[in-house]
Amino acid sequence: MSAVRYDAIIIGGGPGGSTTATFLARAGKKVLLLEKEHFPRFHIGESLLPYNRRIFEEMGILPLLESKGFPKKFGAQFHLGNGTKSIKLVFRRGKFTREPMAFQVERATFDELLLNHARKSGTEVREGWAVRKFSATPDEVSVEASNEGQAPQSFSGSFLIDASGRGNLTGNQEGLRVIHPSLKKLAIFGHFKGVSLDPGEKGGDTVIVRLENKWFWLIPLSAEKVSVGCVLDQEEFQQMRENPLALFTRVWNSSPPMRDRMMQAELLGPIQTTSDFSYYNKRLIGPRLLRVGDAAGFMDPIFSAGVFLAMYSGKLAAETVIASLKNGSGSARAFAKYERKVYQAMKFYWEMVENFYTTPFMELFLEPREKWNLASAVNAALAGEVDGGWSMRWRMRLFFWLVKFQAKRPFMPRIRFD
Amino acid sequence: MDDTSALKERIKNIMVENLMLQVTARDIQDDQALFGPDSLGLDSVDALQLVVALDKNFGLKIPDPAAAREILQSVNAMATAITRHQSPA
Repeated sequence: MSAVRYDAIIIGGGPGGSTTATFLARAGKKVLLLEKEHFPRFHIGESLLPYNRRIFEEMGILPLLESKGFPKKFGAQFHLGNGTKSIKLVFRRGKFTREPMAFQVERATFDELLLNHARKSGTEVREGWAVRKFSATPDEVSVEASNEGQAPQSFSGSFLIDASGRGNLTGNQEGLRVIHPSLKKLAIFGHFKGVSLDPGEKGGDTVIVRLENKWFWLIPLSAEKVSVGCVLDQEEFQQMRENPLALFTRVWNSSPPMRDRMMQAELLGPIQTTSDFSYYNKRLIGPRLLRVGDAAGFMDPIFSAGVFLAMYSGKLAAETVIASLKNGSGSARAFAKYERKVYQAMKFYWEMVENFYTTPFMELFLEPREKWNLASAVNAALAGEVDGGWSMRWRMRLFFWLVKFQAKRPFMPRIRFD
Repeated sequence: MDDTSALKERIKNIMVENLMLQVTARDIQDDQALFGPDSLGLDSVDALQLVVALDKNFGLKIPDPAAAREILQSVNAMATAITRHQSPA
């Protein structure tokens, strides 16, 4: 048992954990971060949102990130799999979008920069420490963690931040995870060289190619390297009985916009797979416990919101802990507010994801109209504008309502996937 | 330092994360069956993902379904196969 009592213990050193740690340490708090791997390590989720920039700035890491030469994403492109329709969204053209550009990152590099920044800010970071379980009393929290298979040790503190990612440690321990019944997907992905991208600024865009019931991502990571992935239903994958690389190749060959881009592509390293179930935990808070990022909830990666939501919730978690340390009795209200704000941001992308898999959504999305500035609202939503207030909210409600209307009485041209 | 238990812990964490299991790594027993009745309840998509993950993380190539049935029985069986692969006699 370690005798030190920390202000906060953070499980996980991904972007969510590092963000929380940085804000807490910079406020002078005593922070322990336990990360089960040794960085740098591979992680999927390579596209950020423009609104990440504000958080980088507040963390004091923006100049460092700007110096690393990450590809710049000024927009996102959506193409129909048969090549008949597409839209190239540009963030700076949105009337409500206050940030014009995001980075595309290799997570091994990016996550390590963030973790080292947390360390430099004063966090005690321990890599190679896997947390096995947690417990909480009204007075303190404690975790049991082991280093490289040695006997577990116990650490205690005032607050616990679960940023354990999709491992979902505290949520799984308490049986709180709810998986979306119809979004049980599988992602097959790899890094490629020789992928053909648009010239100029658009070469940094995320490119999404939407087939009838699956979709591809292309995310440029450097001049040479592009991340390419395919997301499909696990059930469909099960029925096809094909190895992942064969399936991947066959499907991109069936889609003209993918075929054009992949003509000269060569796989670098192995093809990987991962389950891609959308889920949330029934509670994002517990006694002295806040859940951050994927350990709060995870959404299908179509809109690249994962890292942004992790850092957004990580920052809020740090603010909540700081307020609660100052005024112990006021923490219940601060915790409730944390949960409400994070659910609100998550629900927003959750609804976008559910809509994305419907045809009427694509029919409206691919034919944007600036009537009532609806296209601008969607633009801002995809850039990470989750605190846009009423002017954003009613437009998004109206947009989703129009999607439902389109399903019943089409007022925009129908699209075909074949 | 206990290499074997570190390896098993790593395998369990990869399983929980990658297959999105609803349990924690601590809930998975070393000798627990992964497939079939009274098991952890994995399915064929999970099996395929494990084959890919063992290759990616440990360089362990599983050549055919028979070998997969053998190696993917339990965490113990996977750990044994990885150890054998990494230290050729």
